[in-house]
Amino acid sequence: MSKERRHKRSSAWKVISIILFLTLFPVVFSYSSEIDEIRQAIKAKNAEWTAEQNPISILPPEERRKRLGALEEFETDVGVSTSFYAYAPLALPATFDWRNYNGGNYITPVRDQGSCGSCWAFAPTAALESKALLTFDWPGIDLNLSEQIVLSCSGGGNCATGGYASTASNFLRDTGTNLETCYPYTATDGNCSDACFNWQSSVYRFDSWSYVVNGTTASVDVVKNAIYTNGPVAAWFRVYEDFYSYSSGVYTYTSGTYQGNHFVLVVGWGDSDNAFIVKNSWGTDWGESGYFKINYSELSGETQFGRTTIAYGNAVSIGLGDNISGNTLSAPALAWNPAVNKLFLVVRATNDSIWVSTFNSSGVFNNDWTPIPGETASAPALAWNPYVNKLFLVVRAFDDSIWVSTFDSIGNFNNDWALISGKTASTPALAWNPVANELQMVIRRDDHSLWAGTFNSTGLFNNDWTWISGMTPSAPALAWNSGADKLQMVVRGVDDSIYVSSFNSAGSFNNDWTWIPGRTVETPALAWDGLESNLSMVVRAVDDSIWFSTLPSRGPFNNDWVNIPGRTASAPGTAYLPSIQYLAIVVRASDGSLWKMLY
Amino acid sequence: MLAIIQSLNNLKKLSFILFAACIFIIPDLHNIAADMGARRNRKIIVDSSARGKKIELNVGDEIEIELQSSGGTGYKWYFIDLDYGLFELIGEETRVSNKSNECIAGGPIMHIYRLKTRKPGHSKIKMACYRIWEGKEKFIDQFEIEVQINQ
Repeated sequence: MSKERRHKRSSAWKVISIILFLTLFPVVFSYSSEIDEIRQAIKAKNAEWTAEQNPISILPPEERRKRLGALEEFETDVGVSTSFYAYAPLALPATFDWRNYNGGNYITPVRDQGSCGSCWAFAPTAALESKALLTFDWPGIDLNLSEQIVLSCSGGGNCATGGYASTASNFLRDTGTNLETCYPYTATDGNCSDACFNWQSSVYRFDSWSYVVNGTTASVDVVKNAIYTNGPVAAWFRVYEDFYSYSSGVYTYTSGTYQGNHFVLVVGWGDSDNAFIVKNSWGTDWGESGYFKINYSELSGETQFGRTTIAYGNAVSIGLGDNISGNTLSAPALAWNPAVNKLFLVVRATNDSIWVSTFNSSGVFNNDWTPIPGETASAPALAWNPYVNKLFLVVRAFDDSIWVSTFDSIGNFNNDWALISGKTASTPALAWNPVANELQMVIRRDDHSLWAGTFNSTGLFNNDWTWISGMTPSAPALAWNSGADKLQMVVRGVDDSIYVSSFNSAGSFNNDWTWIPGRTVETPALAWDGLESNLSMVVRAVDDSIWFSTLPSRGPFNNDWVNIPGRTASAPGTAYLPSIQYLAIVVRASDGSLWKMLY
Repeated sequence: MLAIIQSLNNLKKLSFILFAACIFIIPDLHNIAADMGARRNRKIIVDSSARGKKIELNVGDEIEIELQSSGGTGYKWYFIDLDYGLFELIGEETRVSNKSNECIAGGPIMHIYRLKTRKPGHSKIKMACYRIWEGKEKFIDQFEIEVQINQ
């Protein structure tokens, strides 16, 4: 290199260096102090994360944003609703939390979306669960709806690409989703055809939804107003790395790289913290048992919290926990008639008359109420006798006498009432024993003692009453356990505990009473679930809530009690619907109305 | 007052030193580098397709590891085995993956980690994708490459 060329090059570098020096000097000093400020802010807020200087944080905000890929967001899929929430200012409390509203919890437990980008399905589904609890006044109920149906059937997105809460909300308004048991969450895209049979006929859905804001900065008052007026709202925000380390306190963005967009459910606020209270979908090990608080300032902060916020209308129940026509004074009786593929429902009406109606094979109520000659002083009992293809109906008369009649194979009432020897103080329990080919009946006398008798295969009563050990203050319950070839009996103990015993396949009582955890104030309802090899049990708790559990065909009690939505004022009625592999549960509300759920 | 004037004088001196460094030292370093020859440091970009492979680098080369995860799920890629004697982590950033719409929730995020080789050696770089609060034992994906660093 010549001296002249080297001199020219050196002069050029001097000019560049001066420019570099003048540009970088203030920037370096300015961003060092910014990091210090963030650290001071975290310390002042007692937040449980720290800000560390990294290659991104020393850049100017514009550069930082570029590297995070921030553009103007608009959380809108093609063709979705564009209606907006009608804001009407009102006086709002300083703190509000749907987890404790008038002593009731209207927020369902925190779920976990796993590694699938399905928050867009989880937040609207969580909102629907809460709206159902609010609409039907079911505080404290774990209504667990299927996010997988939304993920696999809505077209709103998938695990890999993420999705749109707006499309999910449209789906939950127009179609709805079934219970979690219908299509449990897999954290994969799944396939809509894997949802349970005819899932669309039994769903919860919204009647409407609207944007509180979409693509603009939300105001604190508008978001609060929407939560207070409508219930929990779904909110979009940008997640940064420091958010992963959140464990408690009030979150504000401090440091770390952009980690993607997220949807969550805002359930309340606290003005003392200047924060919204939010339910996340990352399980209960994250944050404050799955919840976090986020400072109001984040509405216009780095996370742009609530830049899309969605409010929801009321929940509508279709085929799940829905009101069916009719009234009853006592527990409803249910039995499957395989000859006509219908589920028969028999009730004691308000004037003690007996009425029958049916559900079709898909579990849809036919509303074909027909009165039956006769009257009853208690709930009726029903059981199918496959030997003669008849449905047997047994009732207790007002003098405690026991009467039996039948429906023929196509479901017409035979009006062949016959008096059976013996007296009962409550509804008899009936179940077919397919090995002994006899219909087993167990009654409760007014001294709480239990007596067993049988009908032969043709339906004639054998008049073979036998005292069996045990006592119950309610009617007993019977069901055939095909996994162990025995008749299972469950009763309510005098202390409201639950006891199980059995008859062997020959019809002899095994006297194998076993206490199981749980309590009931009425007769338990039993039905054999052939697919799961479990006996389903539904009971009424002391507060009228309804609880479900299963008894395996062999081995110890599963003790898997689940609180199912709704209330009942009598013992529930239940039967297995083999056509759709669902358990039908019918209960009586305190006003005598009848409600049906497929479970 | 005297102390303030003294401080300003010190700041002036510091500024002058920095100014002088920019003018005289940087061009000289450049000339030294130019005189040493034309060898340039390379930048190698690897993604999940390099999983299990062996790559060769020279001292001073940069390696950029690009791995994807579902955004907004809590999952992120972390180093579980990195020899800091051989590598310097010079940058970590994310960008919205090509497949993703910017506004979509739960869309894929590309995590980018930039390393610079420090000295000759042989090592493995192991990474795992997990939720920080669940721990690396509950990883959902792993990435490993073997690196040979030459002089």
